[in-house]
Amino acid sequence: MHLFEAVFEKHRDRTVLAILIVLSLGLMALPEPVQLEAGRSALARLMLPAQRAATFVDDYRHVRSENERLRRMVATLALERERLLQFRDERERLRRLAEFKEEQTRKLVAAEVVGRDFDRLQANLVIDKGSAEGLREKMPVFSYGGLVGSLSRVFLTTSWVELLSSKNHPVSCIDKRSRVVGVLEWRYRNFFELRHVAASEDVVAGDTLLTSGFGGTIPKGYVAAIVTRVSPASDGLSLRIDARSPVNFMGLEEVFVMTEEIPWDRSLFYENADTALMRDVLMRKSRR
Amino acid sequence: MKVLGPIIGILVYLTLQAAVAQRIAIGSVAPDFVVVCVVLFGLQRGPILGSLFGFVVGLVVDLGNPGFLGLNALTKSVLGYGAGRLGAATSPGVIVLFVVFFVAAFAHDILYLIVFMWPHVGSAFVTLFTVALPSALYTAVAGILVERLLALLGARVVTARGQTRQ
Repeated sequence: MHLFEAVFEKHRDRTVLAILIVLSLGLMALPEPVQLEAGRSALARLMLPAQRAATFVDDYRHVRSENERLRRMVATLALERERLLQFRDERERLRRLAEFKEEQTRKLVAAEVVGRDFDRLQANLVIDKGSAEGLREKMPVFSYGGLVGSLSRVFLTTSWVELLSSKNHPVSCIDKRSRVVGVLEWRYRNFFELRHVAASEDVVAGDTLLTSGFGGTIPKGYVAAIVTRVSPASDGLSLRIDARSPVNFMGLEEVFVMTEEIPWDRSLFYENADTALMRDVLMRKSRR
Repeated sequence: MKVLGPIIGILVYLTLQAAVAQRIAIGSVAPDFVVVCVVLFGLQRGPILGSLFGFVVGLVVDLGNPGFLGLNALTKSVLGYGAGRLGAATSPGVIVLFVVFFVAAFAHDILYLIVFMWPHVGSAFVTLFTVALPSALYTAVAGILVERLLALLGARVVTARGQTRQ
């Protein structure tokens, strides 16, 4: 004991550092599910107000013009939707005649972002839904703008989302116009590069990149990015394709997790309440 | 009051990191205000308080970053300790401070990446030169600006040896 005290007195700073290193290593060695889920979620909730405050000014500045744009969009979508419903029914009838598999859509679970990391070298979000809501690892996560990422860890009441803006999250994409397939890899902020596209392929700026569904984790046909620039790569054999995600990864407040497949007619988009809401928006717009 | 100051400091630097760092990032190169915070505290208060402060700040960062609980606590404890040792040995002129910030940020990222990528340390090298090195330079510039701003606001940067710079 005296020896310990003597060493501690003589090398107090090193002893404190050694204790802290051992503590840190101990924390790292904890089994992942035990890693203080409740405490971390609570702290994440404490951090959220600071981050919301940081984005408040931007949000406030854009809210009026965004509202106007959204009303216009809803009106256009409502009309478009009516036409698409007719096409859908017609298409389903034809598919049944041809004995194709009935098409399905996915159920969306809305979740609030309750935490975000301060780490420069990783990119994760914490959301307030977990396995209790039917969420499972690798389920894709979307926002209004498009693909956001996928679930990397799922606990009972919270989950971690690994963002698309992460070096560990390449996604197979297909050009909506020309059907060219490539791999979308993150570069910085919401800028990406579509890789592995031959120089002879047809990709131009403005093309929309959709998820290809290859790999089976992320379903086919959802917006991932918009092509911003196309130029020949230095190897002369492929294209260098820069793209930008419509998602503001830094400002995400709510996201949607895609869970199980359900038939189209059970989709939330086709509920009567939804139709009533759209009609209400349209009526209000016409009264103005 | 002795405890309140560091707590406010942590909150201010974490807010800077969350709200400002990504907005002023050049490509994937962003300054690390948390490193600046730990280095300044370590320089002022010495290795013991520096490492304890680094541990607490790192733990807070870890709690907001699901994945590797303890990783930031480890790297920032070592950073706080190193800054504290330096504070006892050096007088913080602008150039010295710049070098201290740069070395601290780079060493922090090296340690972080080694632990994070273990045992595939080889794949950390690309990140080390494309992200960590330029980020360390950016952090050093940001650190000097923060230190100058603090000086303008009347704060004094005092080293553990007691030398001051205003």
